[in-house]
Formats: sequence, C-alpha cells, structure tokens
Amino acid sequence: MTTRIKSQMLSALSLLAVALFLGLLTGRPECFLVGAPLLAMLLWTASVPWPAPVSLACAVSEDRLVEGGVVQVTVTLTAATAIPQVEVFAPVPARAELAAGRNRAVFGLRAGQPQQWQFTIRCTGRARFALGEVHVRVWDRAGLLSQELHRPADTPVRVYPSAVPLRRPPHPRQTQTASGNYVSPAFGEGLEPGEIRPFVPGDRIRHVNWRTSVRLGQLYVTQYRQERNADVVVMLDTLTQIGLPPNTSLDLSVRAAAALASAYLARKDRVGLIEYGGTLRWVRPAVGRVQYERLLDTLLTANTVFSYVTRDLTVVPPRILPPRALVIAISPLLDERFEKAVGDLAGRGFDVVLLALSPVEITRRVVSRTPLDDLACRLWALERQEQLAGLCRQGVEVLDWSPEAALETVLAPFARGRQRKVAVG
Amino acid sequence: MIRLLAGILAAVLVGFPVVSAPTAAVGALGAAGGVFCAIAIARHSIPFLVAGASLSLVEYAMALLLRGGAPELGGAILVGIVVVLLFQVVAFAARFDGAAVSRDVVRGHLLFWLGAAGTIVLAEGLLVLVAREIVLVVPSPAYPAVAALGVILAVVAVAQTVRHAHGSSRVERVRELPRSLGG
Repeated sequence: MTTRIKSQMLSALSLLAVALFLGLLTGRPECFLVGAPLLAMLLWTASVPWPAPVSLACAVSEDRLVEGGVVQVTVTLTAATAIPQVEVFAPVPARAELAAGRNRAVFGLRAGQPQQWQFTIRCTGRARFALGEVHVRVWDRAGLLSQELHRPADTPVRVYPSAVPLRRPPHPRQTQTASGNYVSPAFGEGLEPGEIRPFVPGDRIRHVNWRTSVRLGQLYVTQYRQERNADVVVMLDTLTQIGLPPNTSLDLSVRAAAALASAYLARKDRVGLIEYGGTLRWVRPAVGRVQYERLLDTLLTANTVFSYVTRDLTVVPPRILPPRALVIAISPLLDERFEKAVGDLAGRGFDVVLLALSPVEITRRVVSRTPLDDLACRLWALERQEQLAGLCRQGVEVLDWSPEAALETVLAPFARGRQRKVAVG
Repeated sequence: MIRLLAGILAAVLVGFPVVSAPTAAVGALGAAGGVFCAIAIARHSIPFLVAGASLSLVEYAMALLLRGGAPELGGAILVGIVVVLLFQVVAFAARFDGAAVSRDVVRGHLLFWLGAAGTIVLAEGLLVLVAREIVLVVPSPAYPAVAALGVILAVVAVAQTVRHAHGSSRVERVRELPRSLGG
C-alpha cells in the first residue's frame, strides 16, 4: 500500500497559516485560538497509527456473454484491524455501463470480517476487456492522509456480438462436394427426386419407379439429386465506419455477419470470414460449432483500421476464398475501394451478394433534424441509389439494408427469389 | 443533509464577526467570504472553501480590531471549532462525491465530529487556563518566545504528520522490493 498526503492537508495548513499570520498581525490572542483546533487536527492525524493492510479479492459472474448481457462484480475486502472508512473504486470499461449499484463506495471494515460489495455492469457493445481492476483507498478520519492499494484487472471478459436467428439466408448458387442441405443439380444418392429414365443394368431395384414402369410397359428408375453443402465467405468492410457506438455501421455489420455465420453453419455449410480494411484478416472456411466460436472471436476484435494502402483480394489464398463460394459482402459503401473489390469478385465469377447497410439512416440518428441536414441526407440517399445501381450493372446482387429494418425482413424476400432461380437453373 | 450542515456552519463563521462588530467593512468581507463558502458548499470545492474561510478569518480579525477591549476567548473557541468542522464537512463531501457511502460511515463521522468539537472545547479551555497562568508567571518581554514556541509546535505537528505518511510508505516499499525483483 502506498501512503499519500492529500491536498486537504495543504488546505488545512493554509488555513492554519492564515490564522497564525492574522494573530501576529493584529496581536490578538483570539486568532491563535482559532488556529489551535487546526493544529490539534494535524497532531491527531500524526498520532493515529495506520491500520493493518487490507486484503482484496474480486470475482466476476460471467466471462463470456453477448451484447446487452450483465456481469456482476463482487469485491471482497478483509482487514485484520477495524478500519473506519475504506473507499473502493472499480472502473467501468469502455462499451459498458452501470446497470445496478455503484462502482465507487465507501464503507467501514470490522476486524477480521470480510466485507462484500457488489455492482452490476451492462455490456452495451461487443468488446474484449479485463475486469477486476480495483482501487482501494484507506482514509484517516480527518481525511488528510490516505493509503492506496491497486489491484490490476485480471479477468478477461468477452462480449460477443448478438446474432439474431435467420431462417432464410441467401441460397448459394453453387454447391461443394461435401454433403449438406442444398439440392445439387448433380444426380446421385439423395432424398430429392430428379428425373425419370429407363432402367439400365447396375441401377438399384429400390430406385425403380413402379408406377411409370407399369404405365409404359418397361422399367424406369427415378434419379435423385445429391444434397450438398456450400462455401460461404462473409466479407466485412472495416475500412471506415459511421455512427455512434454501440450502433456504428461496423457494429451493425458485425451483428449481421454473426447472424449469417450462425445460419449457414446450422445448415452444415463451410463459413469463412474476410475483414477487408487497412489490414486484411481472414478466417479459413470450416464447419461446426468451433468454427462459429472462431468467427465470433475474430468479429469481436473487428475494428476500423484506415490506411491509404489496401491489399488486393488476389492475395487471399484460394483455400480462404474457394472457387464457387458464395461471397456475402457487408458494407455501408463509404469507401470506394470496397466497392471496387466487390466488383472485382463479381468479375472473377464469384457469386457475390452485397448487403449494403445504409449510412444515411445512421447519420440521420446523430445529426440535428434541420432542413439543411435533411436535404443533405436526401441528396446522399439519391447518390447512394445510383451507386447501388452501378454495382447491380457489374453483376453484384445488392440488398439495400436500412438499420431500422430487421435483417430477416431484408433477406427473406431475396432468399425466396434466389432459391427459385437456383432451382430453375 | 451535508450541505445543510455545512451551510449552518458557514453562516455561523461569516455571521459571528458581523454580530461582534457590525460595520460596513466587516459586512463586506463577510459577504465575500459567504459567497466563496456558498460556492464551496455547492460544488464541494476545497479551494473555494479555503478562500472563503480565509476571508472569514480576516473578517474576524478585523472585527476584533474594531471592537477592541479584552480578549473574548469563548468566541474564538467557537470560531475555531466552526472552521475545523466546516473544513471537515466540506472535505468529506468532496472526498466521497458520487460514491455510495454507507450509513455506518456517515454515523461514525458525525460522532467523530461531535467528539472532536467536545475535545477541542476542553483542550482550548485548558489552553486558556494554562495561558492565564503563563501570563502571570512569564514577563511580558518573553511573550514572543512563547508565541515562537507555539509556531515550533505547529511546525513539529506538520513534520510529524508528513513523517507519519512517508515513514509507512517507505516500509511498504522495502517490503515490496523483493517481490518486484522476483517478477
């Protein structure tokens, strides 16, 4: 513990000096008497021994939670001797707020008895931080001296982006070779009947279509379509962001990416991630729960890294961006480099769906509602419509997403139409 | 509650000299001191409190000079107690502004302040008695020496307090050294 002389002591000394000076100046004993209690206070402070050191423990109720979740922090203090006033302060990390209780408290300690103090914080946005940092200050009665103890943060807490469940994510145009939930154009073992053709030696008896065979007088078999999975790569624009936390364009994009990853992984698809920003980061496509955790961990730290130098997507290895993969790009389209990258992918034959998050609505939330701002936003919206139309002309399927609308309502009509097109094709 | 208590103490501190010597100069100083004290109480600011209390002490000294006559020690003891308590109350509020303060701490402090006021009254009463005896024993040319003794006592008090603070921190530093070396 570190002992500190507080500024209050200097203030008390100043008052004492004023009283003594006035006493000397006026020659009146009353002024000395006025200063005497201040002197007594200083002497008393010097005479009282410091209490025994405080032992400190801190526990956190959760270390993994989603946005909006709450964590209860419990601080336990114990001292061998009684302490009249102990001040405890636990800083609340950024992207978190107090939900119940206070993070700064003053209480007394009884000898040998542990004293618990609890408060709850709500994690408002995705973040990775450490909890458990506590500052303890043991005050003397007069408040002139204090002993301080600092406990560093030691409990890492991860706040994952909240992923809304999606029932109809966009259907991939092309499938891969592993088994999955999509009906493939190729024939083979499966549940979905395809075409009927005459029987040839080698066909299984269980595939014989008896109704057709009886009607046409020779054996016919039903061919089944294979059920295959797909590769989906979510491409996140981290070049720039707009809005206020915890609802910046990047936060909304990250939530959408988490929801899409969850939906596709539930369909046994391989899902990967590319963070396209000042630094290019990626997660190799894979399946399963572990992959979901891996993707969430990467999304947790996704942040804007602006740079004038961006690497071309050709540097991304094919195992990260596999051929015939469905690429879902999520962006507010504020940086034309991302727009160009999406156009390049479409040009290289990838099945690209662009989820274009509207920055106009996000900006409207933070600017004043003056006629001039309103006019600027309307002009911006018109320019954006033209921008989206340009991307459509390049072969990119564009979904205009206003943050007010739920992601499901944006994706569902598109997914239905796309599924129909895929089935016909 | 704390603000009310501090307000009463500030009113006594500012008002007592005005009652003792009701003149325009004392009143003006009292008004200035009162404004500073009011700001200090409203904002829980120690610097404003020091300014306000210092002005009030100047006001008190001026009142004593204007009034003249024999020393009024009872009033001085009252002003001294009020200065200490006002300082303590505002410092307490400033220290724990925004914190959740348990009732035990507040109750303990109120008892401490009451105890401190009582102790100060007794101690100063004793001091007055001792001073009267000293006046009878010590010749008047030696008064400055007695005053110097008081100043030395004040310096010793401050030195002891600082030593008290630094002494314990040095012990802790020595104790923590091997741990920091050990990584």
